[in-house]
Amino acid sequence: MSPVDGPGAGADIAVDVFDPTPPYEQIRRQIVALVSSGALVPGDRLPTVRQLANDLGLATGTVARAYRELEAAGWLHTRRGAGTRVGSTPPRPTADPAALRQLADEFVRRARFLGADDTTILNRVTDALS
Amino acid sequence: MAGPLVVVLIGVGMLVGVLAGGLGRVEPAPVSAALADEARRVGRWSWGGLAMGVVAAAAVGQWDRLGRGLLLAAPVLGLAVLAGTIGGELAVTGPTAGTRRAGLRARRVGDYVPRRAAVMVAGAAAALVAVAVGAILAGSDDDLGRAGRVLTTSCSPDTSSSRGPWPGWFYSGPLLAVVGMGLVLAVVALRAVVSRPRMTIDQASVPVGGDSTSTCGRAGPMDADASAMALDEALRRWSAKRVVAACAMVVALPLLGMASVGAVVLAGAECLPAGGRAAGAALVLVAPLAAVLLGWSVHALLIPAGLRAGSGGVGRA
Repeated sequence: MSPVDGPGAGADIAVDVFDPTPPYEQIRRQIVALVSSGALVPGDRLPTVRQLANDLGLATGTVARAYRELEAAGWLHTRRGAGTRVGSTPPRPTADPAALRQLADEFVRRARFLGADDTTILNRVTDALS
Repeated sequence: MAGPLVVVLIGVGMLVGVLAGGLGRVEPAPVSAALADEARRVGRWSWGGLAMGVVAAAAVGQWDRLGRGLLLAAPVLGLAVLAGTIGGELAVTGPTAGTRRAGLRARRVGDYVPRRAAVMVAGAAAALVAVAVGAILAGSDDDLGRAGRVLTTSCSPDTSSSRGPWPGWFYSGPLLAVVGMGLVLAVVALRAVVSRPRMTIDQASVPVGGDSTSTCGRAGPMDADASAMALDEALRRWSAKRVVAACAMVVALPLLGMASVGAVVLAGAECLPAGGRAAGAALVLVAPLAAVLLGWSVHALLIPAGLRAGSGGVGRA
């Protein structure tokens, strides 16, 4: 396998150290999002804690905490010798109503700023869902 | 008869090794000046290790008139190259921008080491251990009590003859210790190659749609990141190849020396026990294979990373 191919080859994560959200939480959320979206599939191998920490310029404990929480929730599993992989049955995320409402408000605000009326906005959402 | 034959086989073997080492060629890739500087730092550590190794090997080679210094010189050179490689990998700085990006591909040692050469080095290491253990078991003390320095054979219960120098404990003991250190250092070096921070363009310094580098042409942030990734991967391959080449240096020259000396002693020994002649023939075959590996190692250690700022290229070392 070429060094630039393979599971997770195209998946990147970004951490903003000035963001109020702690870095471990940023990592945790992004990995959950990547698994939920199918960018990472069950069995995909993730980098070691040390590799990811070095690449992000973070302490190993920060990445280790993110991995630990993801393992505890069933998103990842770690086996000695096999590394850390995406869990075979990752939990289905439950939609947080408040977060959904926030996303919808943001979308509507931006769409109206672009000049779209309510009917156009609804049509675009329907298109996106189909 | 065995002496000249071994010398000819060694010469042919080294020639084959050097020619085989020259088959890998350069794949140009765009390199930014900043990243080239970072890569050069890795290179300077590695070349510094090689230079220190040459000095240390020359010093060690002077030690012990009975040849142990000469036997240990190449392994010491290999150790210094490994130490330089580790220093170079540790010198790579991590990201410092506010927003840092990382890929989720797990890097593995197997992605970077040249597999055929690694298999040859592993085989040579196993052969070296086998030759050393066999020589230790077969050797006898010489007239001054130096352990395993001669091979003693008996043609009758009353007479025996000793020939040396024989690569028994006197030579193999210190050699195995140094080779063991080399293998430990190689593991540390390969772990450093894989886990050191990825070289990235500082995204904060890249104007949107603009040129992030002074020399790379009109590349946008994504192009710059891709070229940084290509450089990073090429540099890891280069370092991993140097680690394997250093290991080859650690094991190949001692194996060559021990096999050659052992073959010559066995060829001249009288009344060898069963298996002695076969062992001698095996050593005659091992010596040129060790020479091939040594030739490849010398060539691989002298390949530059091929970095040039500006139109730069990254050697697929």
